[in-house]
Amino acid sequence: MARLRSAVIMAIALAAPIVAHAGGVDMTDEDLNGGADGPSFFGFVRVVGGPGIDDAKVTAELKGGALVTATDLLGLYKIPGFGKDVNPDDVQISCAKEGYKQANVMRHPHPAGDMKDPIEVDCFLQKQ
Amino acid sequence: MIKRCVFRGCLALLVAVPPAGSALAQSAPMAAVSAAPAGAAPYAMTLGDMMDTLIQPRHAKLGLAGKAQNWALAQYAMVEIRQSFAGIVKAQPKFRGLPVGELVTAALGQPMDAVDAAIKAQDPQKFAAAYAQLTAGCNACHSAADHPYVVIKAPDVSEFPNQDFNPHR
Repeated sequence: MARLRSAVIMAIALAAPIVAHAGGVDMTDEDLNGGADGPSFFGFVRVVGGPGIDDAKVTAELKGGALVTATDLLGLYKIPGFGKDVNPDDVQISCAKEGYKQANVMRHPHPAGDMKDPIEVDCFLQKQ
Repeated sequence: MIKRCVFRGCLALLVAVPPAGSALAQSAPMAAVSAAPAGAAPYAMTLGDMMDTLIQPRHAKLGLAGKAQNWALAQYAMVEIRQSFAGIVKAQPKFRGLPVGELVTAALGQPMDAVDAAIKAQDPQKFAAAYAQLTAGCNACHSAADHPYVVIKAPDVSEFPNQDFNPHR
């Protein structure tokens, strides 16, 4: 899991620092954003009509750079903490895994201006 | 926060309601229900509270029942687990912005189906495998929710001294 957490391999210049959650908390409803002011993203990478895919590469592209992470055992990825100047509509999410090709990306509706809750973008792969 | 209010006031209600048959219960039950101290703050259960009280004991009971091949009790535990998750998802649809229902489905949907199938087949080996899969799903979900240190395992012994897990007719 630590490997997956550390899978963010290239931070773009506009990305805010990722603030780790402090320990010692119960399952309270803290947000994913880690204290950053800008949009954060999460979602599942799934086989079309099927389960989540682990260790899939997820790329969040923005003019000037990209941020790459990987899915966990459930097929879940999280990209916390873009800078506050980042427009979420300018962030393009894509996914990839060897032996698969991307079929579809689905961005869930999200209230404009809501920077607290992360934006859900699911990505679907199909076997090649 | 508002959606978690399903559970609010439960503790106050439990304290305030007198035992059935008591004089107070017979004379003025409604007054007793509203007799919580003025200004008492309702307690909002966290997701951790709900996991500890609704899910973890039933996960243990499921394991103990399956180990004892008490299939009726195991089936009952599975139904209770599913019902509990349905209630939890309604009470707290999001945790740290993540959709609890989607996490539960992703982590536990297939394993719960596998446990159901093993119970239906009354197959101890299939049950053990499916239960291990279910437990791994719990831990995968905890990791996804940034709680990897909450590690669930199959129970070594019963923590319920007042319940017999062996099958009875």
